[in-house]
Amino acid sequence: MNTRLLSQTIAILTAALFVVFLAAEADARGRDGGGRGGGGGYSRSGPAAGGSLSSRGASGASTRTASGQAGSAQRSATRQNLSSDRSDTRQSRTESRGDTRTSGQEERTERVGERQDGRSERTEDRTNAARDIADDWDDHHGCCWDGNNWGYAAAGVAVGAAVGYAAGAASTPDYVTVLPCSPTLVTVNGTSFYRCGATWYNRTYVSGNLSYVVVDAPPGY
Amino acid sequence: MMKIMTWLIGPTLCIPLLASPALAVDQGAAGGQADGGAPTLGTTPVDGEAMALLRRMGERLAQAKGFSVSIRAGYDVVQDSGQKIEFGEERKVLLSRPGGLRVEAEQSDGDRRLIYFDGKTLTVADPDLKVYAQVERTGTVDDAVRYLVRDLQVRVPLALLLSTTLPTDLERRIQSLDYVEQDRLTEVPTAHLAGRTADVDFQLWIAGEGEPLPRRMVITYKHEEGQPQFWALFSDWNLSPQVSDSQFAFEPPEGAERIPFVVRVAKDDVAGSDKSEPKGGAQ
Repeated sequence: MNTRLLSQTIAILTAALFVVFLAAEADARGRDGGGRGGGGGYSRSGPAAGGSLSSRGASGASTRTASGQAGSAQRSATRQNLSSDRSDTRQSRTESRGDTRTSGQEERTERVGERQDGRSERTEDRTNAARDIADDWDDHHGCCWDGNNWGYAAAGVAVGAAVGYAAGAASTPDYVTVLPCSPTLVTVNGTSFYRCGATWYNRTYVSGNLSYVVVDAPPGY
Repeated sequence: MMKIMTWLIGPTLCIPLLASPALAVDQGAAGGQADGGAPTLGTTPVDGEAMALLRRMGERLAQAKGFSVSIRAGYDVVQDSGQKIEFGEERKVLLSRPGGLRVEAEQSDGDRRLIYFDGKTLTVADPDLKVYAQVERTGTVDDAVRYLVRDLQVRVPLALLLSTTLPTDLERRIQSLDYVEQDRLTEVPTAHLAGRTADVDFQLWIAGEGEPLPRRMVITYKHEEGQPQFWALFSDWNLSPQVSDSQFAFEPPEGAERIPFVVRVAKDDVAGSDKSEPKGGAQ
């Protein structure tokens, strides 16, 4: 009887060790795969950088359609794993980490869903995103919505003479925040033009960030 | 050998079986909490004392003729790897209603950003890069801040605190609010409040002595991946700062270049709205 109990204990321990090993390995693999995403420097922009008391997210205008229930289901799954039996901690932690990732996305979906519900409840005819944002006016929603239906425009009435992009450039400018080369600088009428190969750039604030917008070559070049 | 295999496989199969009833119970509990996590007005508690204090803060700031404050802030950026990296910044804000605002910001990497508004002209400048942009914008600080955030898409963290609509904005968004405790470790004893809106969770530490001004704030972006946070420490509050018009007028430094603002807009908006006049800059 004693021998049997002993071997049973050993077996359970072995099995537990095996599970821990699997969990650790999955963990390591997860970190490895994700680590490469960072690239060169660390990104310093994200949803929290705006410091607003609302959060529409950069992809607020996207077309996600899954139902809100998926979100709460996922969230329950996460909690469940976090609070499950202690002896199972390693495994459940790994699982829950995976689940959290998914549930994050699902929750965003859910939020879109909720907002749509709210909107219809308010029975206001809000047909364009610009007006909708008025409710959460302090949200810095940055750039890069999904879809192609976006253009660029010089903002407001500039003080003084038009310069750079506003003085005449492609209607949908390409721009970069870091120049791809060590540029040649040419100043024409007080405006700096940066040349990389055959491409010319002007400095412009695009969506609040200093950027280099592709423009026509300055007169005489 | 067979016996060992049996013993090995047996318990392994049993672990999920044993665990599942517990999971099922937890799931029930979590389901209830999940409902509570997305509260709707009327069903979630708004603590009366906490709300009164928050209102006092909101009204004090909204009704002030002007104020100056230093804000030391930090925020998480969740990298593609999932790693959270915190960046910092310091802002000195000088506000004089109706039409004066100056914000001097310095990022943790040393980059500086200036925002000036004098009731007529709005300026954003990066003095180290010797560039600035200006637009004509006649109006109040409220208008200017909204225009900065919404149209120019310029970062103005805690923009809400600069607006006279602060009390109503807070009231409309808050779904639950609670009094956590009196915090005695802050510079002056503060009331620690915790609130939730549909989009964010937030915590506020409001001074319990003197003017009911915020001393600390933490915002959690609960729906964003990795739930990043923004935090701010407020110091040097002054509700009657000495101001002169010259403090809000931007003097371009020697050699600084004026550049335009370009914003990304919906193509439908490009024709017809006031922000869609690419040639409008010419005067």
